[in-house]
Amino acid sequence: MNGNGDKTRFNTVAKPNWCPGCGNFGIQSALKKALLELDLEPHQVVMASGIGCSSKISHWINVYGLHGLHGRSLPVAAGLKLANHDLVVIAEGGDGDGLSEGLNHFVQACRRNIDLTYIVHNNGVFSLTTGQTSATGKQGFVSSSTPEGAIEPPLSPTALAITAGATFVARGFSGNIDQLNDLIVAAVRHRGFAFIDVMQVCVTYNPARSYKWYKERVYDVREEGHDSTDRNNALTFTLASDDDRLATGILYQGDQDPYEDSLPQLREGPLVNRDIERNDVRTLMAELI
Amino acid sequence: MGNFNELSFMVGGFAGQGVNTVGSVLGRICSRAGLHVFINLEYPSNIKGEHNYAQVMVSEEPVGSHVSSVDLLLALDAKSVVLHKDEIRPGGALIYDSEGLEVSPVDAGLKVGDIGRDDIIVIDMPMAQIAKDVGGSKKMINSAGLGAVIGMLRFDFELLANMLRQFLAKLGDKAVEANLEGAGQAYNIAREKYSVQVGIVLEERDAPDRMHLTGNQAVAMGAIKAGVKFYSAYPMSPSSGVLAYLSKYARDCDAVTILPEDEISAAGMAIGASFAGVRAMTGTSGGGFCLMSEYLGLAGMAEIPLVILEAQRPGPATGLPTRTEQGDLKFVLSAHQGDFARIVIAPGDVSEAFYLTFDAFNLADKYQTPVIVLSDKHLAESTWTREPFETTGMTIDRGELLGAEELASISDYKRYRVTDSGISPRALPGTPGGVFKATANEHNEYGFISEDADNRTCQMDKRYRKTSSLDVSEIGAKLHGDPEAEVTLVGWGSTKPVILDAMTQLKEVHGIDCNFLQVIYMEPFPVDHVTRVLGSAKRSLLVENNATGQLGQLIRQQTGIVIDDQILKYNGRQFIRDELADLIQQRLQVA
Repeated sequence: MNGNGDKTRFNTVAKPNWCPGCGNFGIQSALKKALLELDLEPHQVVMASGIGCSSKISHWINVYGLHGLHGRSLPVAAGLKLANHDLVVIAEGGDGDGLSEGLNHFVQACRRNIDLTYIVHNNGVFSLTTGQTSATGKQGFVSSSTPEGAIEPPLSPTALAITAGATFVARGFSGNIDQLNDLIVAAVRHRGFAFIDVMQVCVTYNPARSYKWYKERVYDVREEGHDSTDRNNALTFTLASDDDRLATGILYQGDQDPYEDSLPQLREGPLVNRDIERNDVRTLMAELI
Repeated sequence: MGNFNELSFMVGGFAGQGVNTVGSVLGRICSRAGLHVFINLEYPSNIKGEHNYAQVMVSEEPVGSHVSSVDLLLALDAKSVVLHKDEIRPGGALIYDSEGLEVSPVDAGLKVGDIGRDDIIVIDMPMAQIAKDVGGSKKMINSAGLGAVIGMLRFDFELLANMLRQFLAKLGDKAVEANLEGAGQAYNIAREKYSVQVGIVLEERDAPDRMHLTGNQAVAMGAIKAGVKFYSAYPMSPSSGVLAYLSKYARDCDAVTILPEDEISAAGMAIGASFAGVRAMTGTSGGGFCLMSEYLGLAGMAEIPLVILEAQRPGPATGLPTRTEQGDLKFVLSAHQGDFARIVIAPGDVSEAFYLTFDAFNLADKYQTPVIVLSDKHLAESTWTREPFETTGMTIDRGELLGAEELASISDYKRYRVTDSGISPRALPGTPGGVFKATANEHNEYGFISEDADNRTCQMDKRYRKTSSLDVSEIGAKLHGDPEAEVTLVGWGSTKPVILDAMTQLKEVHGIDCNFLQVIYMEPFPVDHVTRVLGSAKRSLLVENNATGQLGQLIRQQTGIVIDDQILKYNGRQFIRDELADLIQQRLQVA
């Protein structure tokens, strides 16, 4: 039985079918821990995910889930939140999903600032389609789509999020579950669009970026005295991340009002709880006479 | 030759001059005076400069279509004189201002020249001078023009004065007075100098209050009546009016409207909102629907209720953005990969637009699948008069929803449980005990991904079974007119009013007796009804506003019946009443 004291309440009967050693397991653990720490019940949370290995995560966390279209978790998540803002809405997917196919939704979700948490499992490669270079793949990356090495440079999702107006931008690493747990808790508590870029190990299609490779390069921006309310500095840390040093932690957090605060029709509670029998069109019809 | 309470009026000008406003103000005045009105609006995809016109039909009897001849033309610019003077019937009148006539920048150098019509009454009305005399801007030319028209028709000036007071109130008392003064001067000149000669008279009639509304407004009102709480749409002619209308009233209706980054997102947001449990809708035209078609299949696979307005315009690609066509029927019936149950409804007039949009929400909830309301530019943006819709007896059916108490009594909740009806009771996020997964993948009864072969067949059958209980044999098609008529016209959607008007004309002028089979449900299709009517029809004639007779193809596919006789129009314009009547008559002369 699920209950507040039950630490297994976010476990599902179905088991993940990710490759052994996949970074997604770490992200799944961190998310479950975070939901427990946030003292949430399974029915209070909805996950909207895209398509790809990582997007299947919505099947393996015991919450309401909509595993939808490739690249398009965010529109669904936005509709969910506006229809029932009492729900905790978490959108999730990979870099191929959200940063290649779904990039426009991502940029617009950043500036729209609806109260959502968006977690991207970022490994630089399309994995479920057996290894092609994604929008965050390293320049020169050799894959089945780029046998001579990727020509385009990668985009930086955190820099993009900061400049597009996201009010919470963080970066984690699938090999540091405790930090990721803290980031997810902070992201869910944040009122507004919260983005977490998770550097995720794909042991099968991007083995060069192993746990060891990341561990040698990651550091927490707090260690360097970063003030996460400083947007310019956040961008500096983000842009300075390269193959030698990778910034993690909360890069930026602002306090701009979420989109929902500007909708007076939401003040009396979620739309889903309104009485829909009350709609009388007589006044509207009279206006057309 | 005089007309009494019968008028075909046209106002022409260039985009930005207020042609639409002049047409709709005149229409609304007539509507308030107890007369029936239809307004056909023709305008290009342009904000300033290109030619626009509105044709306002007024009658004591219900009127649904326009005719090719014009009784009275108000030309606000030179091009309108040149383009439309030959449409004026002999004995009709042209109102223009030879001194102050404007020329659109896109027609620079255009001269009206010799009107060349000795058989019409040419009225040179100094509208620009009047506007100047009353201290007004160029916009006041339109008030003077309306004054001239109302005076010409010997209509009560107070009808216009009240309308201007209402519409211009936001400009302040001084502006209202100046407009009234200008309108009054033109009214007096027209009435005293020309009205007897023109001989067209409108007179107020005792009649119930009537609305003056477009198909877009009717769709939006139907959605509000159904309790729509979420409308997401990207702007695209001719559907944008629904977004504007719902956005205006959203706060009053406890609803949220949003314009997201594209039509894909518009559909996705509506699906998310519907999944959360509110009644949600999106709207677009064919081009936007291309983008939405990916999400259409998710709603089908994950069984999420979704109402989509598809207001057609001529394609392919950008096509004719502000014109009309019925070219997307086959597309909406087959959009998206794979097979899934969908419902496609095509309202034929503003009343059906209201009631069928309301029904669409009930159907979407009941069958947990996408429902497409198929409109077009002609229905979406033309204006008709109607008595306020009767709303008693309209009941909301949210379908099979499970609350927390019901879920508490179910030990093993399966969202996609295989049932006899195919319909599986739905839990809403936020409800304890209902946690489940929805997915774009094939899934088992719990909603978990499943690639099991037997499960696949079982779930496909279950999803298809849902709409098999939707009986459209009565509601799916309507036979208008005498069932024994010599000719059965077959059509759908916005051609309904013009077909009905053409039938009346054929009977009165040519003594030809037609009936009209209007197909309303395209999916599921009223197979028996259509087979019965066409099986006993003496002669069938397909009338469609597209190039390939798409309904004809659908009828053949569904019933095996081939309608060889086809009248198809696809120049981006709706049929004109007398044009259609003539085409039908000519066709019937061919053995």
